[in-house]
Amino acid sequence: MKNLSLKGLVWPGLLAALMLMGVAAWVYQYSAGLQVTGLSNPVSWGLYIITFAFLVGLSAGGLIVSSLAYIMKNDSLERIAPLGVIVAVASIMGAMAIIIPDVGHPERIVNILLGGNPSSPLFWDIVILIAYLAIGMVEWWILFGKRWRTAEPTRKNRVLRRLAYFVLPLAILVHSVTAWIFGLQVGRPFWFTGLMAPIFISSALVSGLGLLLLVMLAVRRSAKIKDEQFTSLGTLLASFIALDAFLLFSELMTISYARGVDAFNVVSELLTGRYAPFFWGEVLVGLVIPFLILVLPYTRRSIQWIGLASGLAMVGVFLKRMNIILPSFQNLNLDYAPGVSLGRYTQFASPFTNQPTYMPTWVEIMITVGVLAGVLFVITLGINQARTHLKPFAGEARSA
Amino acid sequence: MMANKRLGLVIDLDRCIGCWTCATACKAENGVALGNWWNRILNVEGAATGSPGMVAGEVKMTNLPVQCMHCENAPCVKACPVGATYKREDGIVMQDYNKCIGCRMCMAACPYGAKVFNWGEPQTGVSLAGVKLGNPAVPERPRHVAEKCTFCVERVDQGELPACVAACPALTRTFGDLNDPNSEVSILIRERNGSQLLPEFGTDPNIYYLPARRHHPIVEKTPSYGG
Repeated sequence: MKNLSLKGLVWPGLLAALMLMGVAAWVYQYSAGLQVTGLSNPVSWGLYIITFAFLVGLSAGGLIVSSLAYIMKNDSLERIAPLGVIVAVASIMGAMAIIIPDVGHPERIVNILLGGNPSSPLFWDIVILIAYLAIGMVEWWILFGKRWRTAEPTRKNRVLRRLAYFVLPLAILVHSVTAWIFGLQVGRPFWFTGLMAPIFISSALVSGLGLLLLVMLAVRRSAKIKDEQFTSLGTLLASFIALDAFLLFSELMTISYARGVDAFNVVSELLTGRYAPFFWGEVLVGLVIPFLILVLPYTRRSIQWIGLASGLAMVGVFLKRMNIILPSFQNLNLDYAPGVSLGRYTQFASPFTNQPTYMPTWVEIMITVGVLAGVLFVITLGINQARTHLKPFAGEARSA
Repeated sequence: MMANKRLGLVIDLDRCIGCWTCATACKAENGVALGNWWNRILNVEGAATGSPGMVAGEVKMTNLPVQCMHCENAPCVKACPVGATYKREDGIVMQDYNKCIGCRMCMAACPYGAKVFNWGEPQTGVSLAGVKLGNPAVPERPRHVAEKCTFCVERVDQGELPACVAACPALTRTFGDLNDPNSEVSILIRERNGSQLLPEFGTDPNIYYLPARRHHPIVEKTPSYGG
């Protein structure tokens, strides 16, 4: 940060303020208890876990794209590969951060490492997240660290290429295990599908590349990224979206065709029920519109349109996480009256429900916004590092 | 030599009148916090507790008590990342309140909605005389841990029946060792065609239900249980 200016401090200052607000909200939640969230016994996971899955996806997507660049030795992709590392490290930090407000006893998280249960997908998820963050940090260090600053670019790339052979399977694994937190639960019929991990991976590719494209857009002048590179990555994004849509369709068709299976309760909720606006929103905003933008002759060459498509695709993936997680909680296997106890006591109101609802409270929203601001803060930090230390990024800095 | 015990419960749907005494006794015994219930009675046909529903032109009401099923193949035990939910040798699925990190993985895993969570500092009920409810032998729970039916392990270890079994005025519940072919529970299951709840999930519960015969077109006149 050579040229500190007031203007350059507005963006990180805003992010820092949002992060502080998130921390304050968490302190409040910690002292008042999880009862200040919208969660209840039937809907025991909400905005935090949705955001967790979303962030793990962003991270996996970013690192899959950047390590593919190294493995395929694609020169033009390699130029933007450091951005993939930045996005991945920032997102994984956010994913780990948002676990803390979700669990009731964050001080006991260390129990997972001291005496973990190897049959639990959550145990493996934490282990692999830590390994994943570590390897991401190593890549970050090789890219921007002091020791490597004098190294020859070819040597640096050789090391990164070798590392990519470990990073790529790890990135696929980290998101698969996150999917298996849901996909291995026999008691949640809509989750219990062998397609859960592939669907999580395809969504990760969409959202991760989407974020990468948006970051590229933000640094395109200083990093001298050519418009053609946006178009070619935009085409890649279109194919990821097509893959994502294909897997989603395959899953939903299988269940809808049979109809008489338990998972159909959730599917009909998505297609025509309470979740229809979110599901069709996901299809339109996350799949149809960005796909059209990325394939139509006029828009596919415009970086503004590609940026719009990337943003929409990310919104779509967030909705998708929500549509996978929430309706499964809201459709009880035993939905007879009066249902399950809520875990909340209100005088003169029934403590039971067989039609659970969930609405995040302002505390949950503030903490989530704080974590997302933290992710953007780390990305900003990374971009600054890249501008200072990396050749293609060290052009004329616009701000900061 | 007998193998391990497999403690289980048989619930006779022919006898249950849906009075909620089991659920209340459970809550009092275990000091379950306000808003949480380990034991509840679902009404299969009706839209609310105590109100019958119409099925094919006939008024019907089947009371279905539901609590932790103490599954042999328990999804919650597999899912818990720290082993806070575990299975005892005698088949009881237990919760270690000192280990639980409050991640609620077990609640996502349970097909029966049996697990409850203390979303805040648990407020325990107080009797009319101002006495705090609950068996003092039952450990108090801190906030932010999951909990559920333990088959009243503190009573069972003293050779007593679980509170719900002892309290039921309709003699709906029978408790015993499912691994012993001559136990009352085993005989009831055999002779009355006992079945498990949501068997399609393959969880192999240790709670069996005896079907409600009064809903059959011809009511069986001679009860074959009671042994």
